[in-house]
Order: sequence, then C-alpha cells, then structure tokens
Amino acid sequence: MTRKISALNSLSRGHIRTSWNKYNLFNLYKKRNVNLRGKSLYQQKWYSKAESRAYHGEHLTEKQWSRTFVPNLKGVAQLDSGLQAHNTETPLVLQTYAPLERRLDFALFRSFFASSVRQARRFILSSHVHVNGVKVIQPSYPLRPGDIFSCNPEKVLLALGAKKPSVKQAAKIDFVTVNKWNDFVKKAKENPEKTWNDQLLRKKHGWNGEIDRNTQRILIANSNKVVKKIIETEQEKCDPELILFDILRISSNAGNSDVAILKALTPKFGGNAKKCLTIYQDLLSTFENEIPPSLPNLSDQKLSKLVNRILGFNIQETDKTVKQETSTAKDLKDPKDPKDFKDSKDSKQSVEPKEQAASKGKELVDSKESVETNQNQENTKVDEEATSTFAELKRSEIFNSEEKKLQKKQEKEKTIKIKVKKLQSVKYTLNQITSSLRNQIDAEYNSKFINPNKDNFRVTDLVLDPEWHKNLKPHKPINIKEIVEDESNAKIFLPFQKGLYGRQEAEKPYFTPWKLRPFMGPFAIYPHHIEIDFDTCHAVYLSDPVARPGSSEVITPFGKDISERAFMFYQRKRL
Amino acid sequence: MIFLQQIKSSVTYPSSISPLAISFQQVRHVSRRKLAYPPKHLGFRYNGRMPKKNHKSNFRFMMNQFLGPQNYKGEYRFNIFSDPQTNNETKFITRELPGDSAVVLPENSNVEYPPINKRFLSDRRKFQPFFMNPQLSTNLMLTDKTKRNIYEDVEINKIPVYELAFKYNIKIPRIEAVVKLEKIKLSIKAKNDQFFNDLKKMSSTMKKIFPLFERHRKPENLTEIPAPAKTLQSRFLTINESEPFGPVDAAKVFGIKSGKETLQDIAETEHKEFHHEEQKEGKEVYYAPVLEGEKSVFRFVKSKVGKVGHRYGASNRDNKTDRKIGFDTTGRMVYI
Repeated sequence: MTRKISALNSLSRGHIRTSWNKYNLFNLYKKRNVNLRGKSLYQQKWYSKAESRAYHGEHLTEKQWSRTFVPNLKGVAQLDSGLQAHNTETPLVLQTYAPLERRLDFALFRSFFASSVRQARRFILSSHVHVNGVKVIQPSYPLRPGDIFSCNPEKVLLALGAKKPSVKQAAKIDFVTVNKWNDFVKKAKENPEKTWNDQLLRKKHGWNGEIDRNTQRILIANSNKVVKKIIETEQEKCDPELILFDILRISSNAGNSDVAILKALTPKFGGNAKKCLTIYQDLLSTFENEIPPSLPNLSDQKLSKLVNRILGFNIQETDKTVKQETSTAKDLKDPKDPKDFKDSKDSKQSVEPKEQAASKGKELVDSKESVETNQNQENTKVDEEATSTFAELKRSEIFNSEEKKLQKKQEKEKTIKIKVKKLQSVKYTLNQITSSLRNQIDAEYNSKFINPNKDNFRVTDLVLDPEWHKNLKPHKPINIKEIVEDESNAKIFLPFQKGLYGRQEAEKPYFTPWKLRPFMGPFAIYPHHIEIDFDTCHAVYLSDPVARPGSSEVITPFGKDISERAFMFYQRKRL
Repeated sequence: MIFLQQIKSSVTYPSSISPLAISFQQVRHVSRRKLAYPPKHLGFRYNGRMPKKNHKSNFRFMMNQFLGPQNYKGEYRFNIFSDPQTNNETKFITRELPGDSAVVLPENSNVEYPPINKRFLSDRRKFQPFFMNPQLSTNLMLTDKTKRNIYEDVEINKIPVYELAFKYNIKIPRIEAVVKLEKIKLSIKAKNDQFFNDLKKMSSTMKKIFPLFERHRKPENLTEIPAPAKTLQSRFLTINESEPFGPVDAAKVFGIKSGKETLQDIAETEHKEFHHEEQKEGKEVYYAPVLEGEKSVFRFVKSKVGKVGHRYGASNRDNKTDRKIGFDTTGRMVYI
C-alpha cells in the first residue's frame, strides 16, 4: 500500500519530489536550505528527515522505509594512488537512502521509464514491467546487480511524452492556429521580405529552444539552395550588354562633367567606376554619329537597341563595308594593272574590258556616267578610231574619279579600323568589368553558404528565398462545434501539422506525433548504477549505488548536512 | 498567533540580545512550519504589491513568473527549461549564478540564447544536477557507436572483457550490460509494431539530452573495489617501530585478499557472480550423501536455533503485520 497523497505538489510546502512536473521544478528552483540554526539536535534531525523523505520514498510509509533502511553504508576504495593523494572525504552519509535505489519502482524512474516513482509503481502493478524476462508486479522488488528490467514501450512513450489534449482543447487550439496561419499567408504575400525578417527575429529572441539537428540541416540546405540560385541570377545579370546599358544610362543622366559622372557610377560599379567612365568617353568620341544627342531622354528599348548596334551589329556592318570596299578595290585594281591594260589593247575585242569596267563600276559611278558610257559604246560602232580615242579619254577620266573615291574609301576604312580597334578595347574593358563584378558576387555570396554541420548556427544566417511565399496557401477555417461532435470532421492539412493538434493518431494515449514532455532538461540525470537502452526500453541494474571519495552515486538533491542528520534520525536503535 | 504575540510582548529582552535570536521552542500548539517562499535574491515579486488586483495566491503568482507567459497551445516558450536540450549538454538549474533567469522574454533579451553565463560553467558544475548537492554528478551516456563497438569486440572479436575495460576506460559491469542490451536490441529490431516510429523518435530525443562519455576526458576509475566490510572497523596491533607495515600487511591482518588480487578476481570472474558471492558470504550449505533406499538428496543449511522454523507452542505468524518478504525465481512474492 502506498502512503496517502497529501499536498504532493504544494508550492507553500515546497518539498522536492521524485517527479518531473512543473510544480516540482518550481519547488526545486526556489528551494531554500533547511535552516538548522537555533534548533535542537532532535529538531535538526527531524527537519532533515522530513525534507529528505519527501524526495526519497515519499510514497512509502515510515514503517516500510525504516524496515528497508540499512545502517551499513556502502563505499568503494580506490587503489589508484594518484587519486588517493587528493585525500577527499567519502560522503558516506549520502548513501542513507541507497537501499531504496534497489527497488524496482525507483530503478524504473531513474531509467526514465516513468515520470515519477508513483507512476512507476502503477506501471509495475498493471503488469507492464519485466525483470529478466519474468513479469514482476511488486514495486518493492529488490534488483540485484546484472538484472535486466524492461517496461512496455507504450507506457514509456506515455511517461516521457507530452500530454495529449482533449478533442475540445485541440479544436480550440487549431481554430487559433488556422486563423494565425491565414493571417501569416496574407502578410507573406503582401510583404514577403518583412514577414521573413519578422520570423527570423521571432526565432532569434522568442524561441529559446535550440533547433534540433535535422531541422537545422533542412533550413541550411534550403538556404544554400537559395544562395546558389541568387548567384546564378546575379551572374546572369553581369552581361556586357547590360553593363554598357547601365553605363550609358547612368553617365548620360549624370551630366557633362567627368567628376559628376564618376560620382554617379561609383555606387553601382565601385572600383570599376573609372573604367566605366573611360568606356563612356571612348564611345562618345568614336561613335559620334551613332549616339544621338538625346541620349539621357532615350527610352530603355531604344537605348538597348543602341547598345546592341554598338556592340554587335556595328562590327558586322563595318565588316560588310570593309569587304565590299576590298572587293571593289580588287575589281578596280584589274584594269589598272599595266599587263591587263596591254592585253586589252592587243585584243581585238577591246570593248569587253570597257563594258566590264563600266558594268563593274556601275555601283560606284553615277547613273549619268553609265548612260554616257552606253552612248560611247554606240558611237564606237560608227567610228572605230574616234571611239577608241574617246574610250581612252573616258577611261582615264573614270580612273581619275575612281582614284579619288578610292582614297575616300581608304580614309573611311581607316576610320572604321580605328573604330573597330576602339570597340575592341571597350569590349575588353567591359569583359574585365564583368569578370570583376562576377568575382565580387562570388565573394559576397560564397560567404553566405552555411556548413550543415556548423555548431554555432544562428537563424539570422539564413538567406531569404525571394519566392518563398509563392507556395503558401491559406487554410479553410474550421468549425469547433463540428469537431467536438465528431473528431473525424477535423480535416486539417497545415504544412507543419496534419490532423488535430496532438491527436494525429487519436487512439494512442500520448501526444501524437510524439514529442518530449516539457521541463525535462533539469531532471535529465543519467544514473551511475543503471545502464539504459532507450531503443528497446530495457535497462540493466549494474550495482548498488556507492560512495567514493568526493562523490556519491545516490541521486539526491540534498547535501551532506541534511543527509547526515537524516541518517542519524534513522540510525537510532528502535525497539 | 494571538498567543504567540502575547508571549512575545511578555518577554523582556536584555538590551544586547536581539528579539529575533530568541527561540520559541517552548511554545506549544503553534505551528512553526514556515511557508516555502523563494529566497529574496531570486527576485520574485509578491502578488499583494502589484498595482492590478488578481486573485492568485502568492505562490501561484511566483510560479507564473518562473514559468513565463503561456502561448495559446499551453506551451511555455520563454522558459529556458521548457524545451529539451538537443546538443548533449546539460540544462540543470544554476540559480546561484548572477543574472541567471529561468525566463528569457524577447523584450529583455539582447543576447542570443543560450545565456552567456552558462557557457563558462566549469565541468563540475555543468554535470551537477542539484545546486544543494555538489557531491552528485550525472553519469555520461555511451554513444551508439561505442556500444556497437563494444558488442562487436566481445561477440565477434572475442576480446576479454577486462581488456575492453582498459581499452574503453569503462568499468566491467557496464561493458557486460552494454553487451546484454545490444543483444536484446538485435533480437527486437525485427519487430515493427505501431509504436516503432514513436519509439525511434523518443530514443533519438533522449540520446540528445545527456552528456556523452569521452574515454580520454572523463574515464571511469577502474581501480575501485568494494570497501571490505572488515576494514570498516578498527583493529589494534602492536608492532615494532622499525617494522615496515604496508597495505598488503594490513590485508593479512584483516584476513582479506590484497587489492591486486581482488581486482584480478573481479576481472576474471563475471562481475555479477562476484557480487553474489559477496552477498551470500557466511551461508553454509551441506548436501548429505545419498544412502541406499533414499529417494531424495538432503540439503542442510546452517542456521541458528530460534531463527528458523517454529518453536513448539509459538503461534502461527501468517497474519503478522510487516512480515518479511522475498521473491522466488519467477518473480512471485513469498514469505520468508
């Protein structure tokens, strides 16, 4: 029989119990040391006994405990001479309640298979506990070193898990959750960046629990993906055409003075601003005719066309003209050649070269001249001599005019060549700028890649995905009454929750999906005398807890002073 | 209380003694139980001193301060103890540290979690669960990998347990236990019941809340032997002043094995057996030779007269309260 529960979690009494609940945690947090001053020895013993017994075997009657009590306290001797040198005292008095640790119910609690000794007792009594494969229903069963004991996993999950809410509680919570989610989605769609930053701030300040490794890895992987994507898009933006576009736009708007242009270019191009300025100046000087005076007022479309013409189309054009000119020059070169001229002289059909020259020079000579040549051809038929002299004269005239034109062409060619050269240098510097900008982007964003195994990970390190809000969908509002009437009416599909809050698998007795009960941290004391396996809910009782110089294995919140007086209280000879 | 006040007023104190120093031990029928208010330095506020009236008791009011605000799901997100640790570090109460607070509210926190003062705790304090008991420290958990290695070394590589104890710096009983538990794990692994996923999650969560064992940093002491019962009492011996007297001589005087021999015994025999031998010490059993015509073997256990059996004329003591009990091999309770 257990002792009757009276004021087990009383805050005004403030006793510490073998339990993990929040009342007990607060009692432990606010615990004062027992004031032993001004008290008689018996009072000191009595208060010490009362305090320590409230923790050790509170569920046992005084008679049950005093029968278990053994005055011989167990300690160990250390043969290591290095350890002996410290000469620390062995706190044997802390072994006062060691015999209780042999009890099955205590061992179950110490192995984290039950949330309190009283619960452990109930698990044992309802046949959920086995020792060495044999069902044991006595909570006081004394374990021996080497004994394997186990508990039904369902009960362990119940003991360690968070409390399962009732249908009504869960529906009420979900009502709020859905509303909050819908508000959040609305906010995210309206202002994605601000919402994201707010979330981060919330996590930075408000969320005091650490992010577990798995979620940390997922968050980091997503962030790294985003960084990769950003780098790709930014690299794409570093195109020579786009850069030239920016240079022309910014510089033309800045005004005429170089200083003003440089000032305007610096925020965008930083260290490359000077290079940009030289590009702008080169372009202005070389492409005077192509660049219109209304450059600052040019629309984006026209400006991009201009950029295209300067960078690509212009070169083709110059190539074409150069080709044409070279081809015409070749054609014109033929009659100029003295050999050819002789041949034409000797040949009977001397008209052919005339005709050829006339026809080939068609494009270059005016139409009037060509008509004249035709007339001359007709005249040749009338008078051969006259025609021949006339033809010669004419030929020399044509050649004179063509030579002039050729000179002009050559000049043109020269200017085109200079233009091409300038353009090449402009292109070269543009490429330099793009590569340096790309390097800058790499340097800027490579530092934003987070190592997935980073220990001091901060949520503020995460990078915003510009499209993060696109997949968010609002949820249909829920009706609490309907759900309370029939739980199957609850159809909740939130990205972080499926089914009713804490009741995803309603048939299970604990919070589902399973999560650890709150306030476990301060009670997570791994025992020295038990080896636990959480995968199978089995444990091995290694040995009775002992005291060694400087420490004791008995888990007790009380120090030597209390334990000593409690020991003295029970050590007395009883009749 | 009126009575107490009357006494207080009737006592005349000497000028040198403060009235607080007077003990009221003689007062009867008055409860001297003090309410368990927290120490002042923790800085909890009292309900009565708040400008806005509420009907909570002082303790409940203080507990709410300790837990922090509750969200609509009923969680205490701002309490540092609410969520479990996931980094194999401890999260024990360290209220003696200056500036240590259980609740970190967003408006008060300019520092990132965890609070700075917790990072500079000594190892001893980190592993000390209760602030009142510096003699207690939590044990360190073995990693799955270590457990697996131990199991393979014992079962596959057939390395003796005492060698492994030195290899891993873990005590023999713990190594034996690990092997047993690993065997159970392998036999149960095939099972895939409805609790499998939850169990997996539970075990992975629990494996993150304990500090981990590091064999070089925090080795277990392998030279510990149970303190022999005979050494707990003093023994006086007269010896010459010039005669050397060491621990081995002392062991001879007490009639016990030397430390070296005891350690070897522990290493060679299985720890469990050794422990049992120690417990059974003093029980003498004698099996009588089977004579002709006898159907059974007679077993005689040495006992004292009066300590065993029923004396003629003594009453049957089945109904005696608090009768001594024991358990048989099937786990059933039996009266001894």
